Amino acid sequence: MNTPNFNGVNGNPFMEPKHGTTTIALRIKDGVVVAADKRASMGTFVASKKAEKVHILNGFTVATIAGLVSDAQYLINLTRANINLYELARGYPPTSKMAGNLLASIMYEQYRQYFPYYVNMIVAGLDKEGPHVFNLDMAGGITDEDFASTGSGSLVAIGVLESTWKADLLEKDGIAIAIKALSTAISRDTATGDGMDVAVVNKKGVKRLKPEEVKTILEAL
Amino acid sequence: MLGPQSMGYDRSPLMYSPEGRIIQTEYARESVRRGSIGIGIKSKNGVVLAGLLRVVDLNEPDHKIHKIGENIQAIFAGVAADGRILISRARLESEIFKLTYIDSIDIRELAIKIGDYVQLFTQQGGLRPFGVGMLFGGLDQTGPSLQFVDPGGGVVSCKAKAMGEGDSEAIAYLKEKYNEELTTDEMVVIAKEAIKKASRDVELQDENIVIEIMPYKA
Repeated sequence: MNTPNFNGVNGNPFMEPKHGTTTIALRIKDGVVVAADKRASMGTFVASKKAEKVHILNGFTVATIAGLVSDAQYLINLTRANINLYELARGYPPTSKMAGNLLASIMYEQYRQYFPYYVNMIVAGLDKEGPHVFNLDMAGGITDEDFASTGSGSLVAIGVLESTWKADLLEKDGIAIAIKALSTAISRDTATGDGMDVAVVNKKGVKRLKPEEVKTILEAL
Repeated sequence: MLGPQSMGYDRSPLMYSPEGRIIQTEYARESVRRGSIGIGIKSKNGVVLAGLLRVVDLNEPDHKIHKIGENIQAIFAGVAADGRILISRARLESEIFKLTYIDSIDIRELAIKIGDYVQLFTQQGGLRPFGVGMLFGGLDQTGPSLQFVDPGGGVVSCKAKAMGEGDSEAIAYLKEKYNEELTTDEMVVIAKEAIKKASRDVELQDENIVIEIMPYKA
C-alpha cells in the first residue's frame, strides 16, 4: 500500500507543488478548446478528486492552471479583478492577448523578486486577432502557440496533440483531440485522473461541456 | 469690516468656527449644489438612478452614471475631476473586496469606505475637501440599497435622494410621490419628472437624461 508522501518542498507539506495535472489548450477554427483533469495530488496522495483547473476569466478568455494550487487560485482572482477594472474604466473588456500579458507581467515581477509563483498556466481565448493559446511559464515568459499542455502529464498529452493537431480544426474535432490527448495522459500519468473539465471558446463566448457530453465523446473515440 | 465668517474660520477645514461648523466642507457642499442634478430612488422593486447630462458647446457629453461592479452603479454631482477619483477608488475597493471574499461588497460598506476616504480630506492639512456628493445604488445581500456620501464624509442610507442644481425642488417632488411599493417603471417616470422640476424653466430633451434601472426580485 502506498503511504502518503507529505515531505513537500523543504520538508513543508503545504509547499508540495500539486504538480500532478494535465491541462491542454488548442486552437481551432475561430476558437479554442481547453481541457484539464480533476485530480490534485500531494506526492503520491490524491489530495482532491474535484479540483477546478479550467477557469473562465471573462466572456472570451479562459485559463488553465498547473502547479501550486494557492498561487494559481490567487493569480486567477487577481487577473479577474484587473480584467474587471479594465472593463469598468473603458466600457469594453481587454482582449485575450492583453489578459495573457497582464498575467505574465504579474508572474515576471514576482520571479524577479526571487520567489516566483509556482505555476504554469495557459491563457486561451478569442479576440479580434483570432484565437490565441498562450503558454505562461513560472518566470513570466509568454508564448503564443497552436496548442499547449502543462503539468506532469503534459509530455504524454503533447505527443497526441503534436501528431493530431492541424490548422482550422472544426469544433467537434478539436474537442475530440483534446479529450483524446487528456485521456491518454490519464492512462499513462499517475498524477492525472478523476475525470475531465472541457471548455470551448467560440464566437458566441465560453461554453463548458457537461460531464455527459464528455463521456459520450470519450466512448466514441 | 469683517463678518463672522471672515474671521478666518472659513479658510481651512482644520478649524471649527465658534458655532462648531467646518465652513470649508460647507463650501464643498455648495459646489455640489452647482453640479448637474443626480437622483436616486429605491423601493421594494429595485433602484433607479437618473442624472442630467450637461452638454457644453461641442463637447461629447460625459458619463453621468458609472458602473462600479456587477450590481453597483454610482452617480455624482459637483466637481467632475473629484468625482472621477472617487469612482476609480470605489471600483478598486469593490474588486479588492471580491479578491479577498469572492462575494460582492455590500453597497453600504462600499459607501462607508468611500466616506472614510472623503472624511480624511476634512481633517488633514493641505487638502481640499472633495467637491462632490455621490450616490451609490444597487442590489446586494440586503436587497436594494441606495447610499449617499457627502463632502464631509457622511454616509446616509436613503429611500430617495436628489443632489445638484435644483435639488430642493426635486426633493420636494420626490417626497410627494414616494412610497415603498413603486415599480421600476414608476420610479423612472418620477425621476424624469423630478429632474424636469429641478431644471425649472429650461427645456429638457429626453436624451439629456440618463437612467439606470436595477430591478429587484425577492
